[in-house]
Amino acid sequence: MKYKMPKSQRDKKRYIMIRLISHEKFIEEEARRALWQSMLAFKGEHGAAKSRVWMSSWDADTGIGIIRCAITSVDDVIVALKLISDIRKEAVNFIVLGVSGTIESLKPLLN
Amino acid sequence: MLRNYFAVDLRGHKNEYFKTVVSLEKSKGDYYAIELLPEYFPQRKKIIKKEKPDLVFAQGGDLIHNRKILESPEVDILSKPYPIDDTLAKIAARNDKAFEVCINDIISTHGYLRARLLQSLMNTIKVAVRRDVFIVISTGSTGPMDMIVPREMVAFGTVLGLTYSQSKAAIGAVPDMILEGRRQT
Repeated sequence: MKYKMPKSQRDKKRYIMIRLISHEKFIEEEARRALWQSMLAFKGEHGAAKSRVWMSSWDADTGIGIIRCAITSVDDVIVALKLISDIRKEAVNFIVLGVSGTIESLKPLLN
Repeated sequence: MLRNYFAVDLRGHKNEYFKTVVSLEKSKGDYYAIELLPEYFPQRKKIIKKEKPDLVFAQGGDLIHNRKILESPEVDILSKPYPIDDTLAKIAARNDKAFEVCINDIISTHGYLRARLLQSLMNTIKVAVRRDVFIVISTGSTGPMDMIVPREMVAFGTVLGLTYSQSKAAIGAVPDMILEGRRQT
């Protein structure tokens, strides 16, 4: 049986709901790559690794996505998102819609 | 937004995320502000009399120029507050001047310049917090493509060395207090 770490011993995480403002549509791979490049430029390899950043979901049509990261790195991830100025030479702007501990509590923000 | 911030943007454009917006262009915000560049600082009285702004920013330069700004009663906020030393921070605290951190300045630079800018701002914030000088965080945005929401402003403040509550004060209570003080005079 696979060992699963108890919930109490897992690292705490936060989910950041974001919205992309742009004239173009971008697929998840492009958004993820932009986020990682920005994180690596801003925090370096060590900081990016510690932030445990990951794109949980991405909707290319609406440009709304959810990013998971370590609780200690929420502000770093938000700043790194803000420092992304373009994807594929197209000007973009990421807006933070909300930060929460569960994906479920972020869903009301979509309405 | 999950949490509704009581946010005031001292340099931006009107949007639904902010209660009050001060703009450098007339009729683009709730209040009108002007920014005095170093070359126009000697003619400040004439400019203020002509423009009649609700708020006056003055752009920082070297230490001598920054001292002149902080000792001038016409100016409310020192923008680009670097270099700042302990003496200047004491003068700012005594004269109730505020230091402005403009996020658009950070976003619009890249690489080495951004690193140096962050370094200067971190140093200024460190000195300002030690001497209880007011710090305000503003967006500097001009349209929806560079819109910045209050949660992001708080994140920038935290990254630059403020605590979470200090960052929240820098986008809410402190700018509101400055505007209130200006309205009473």
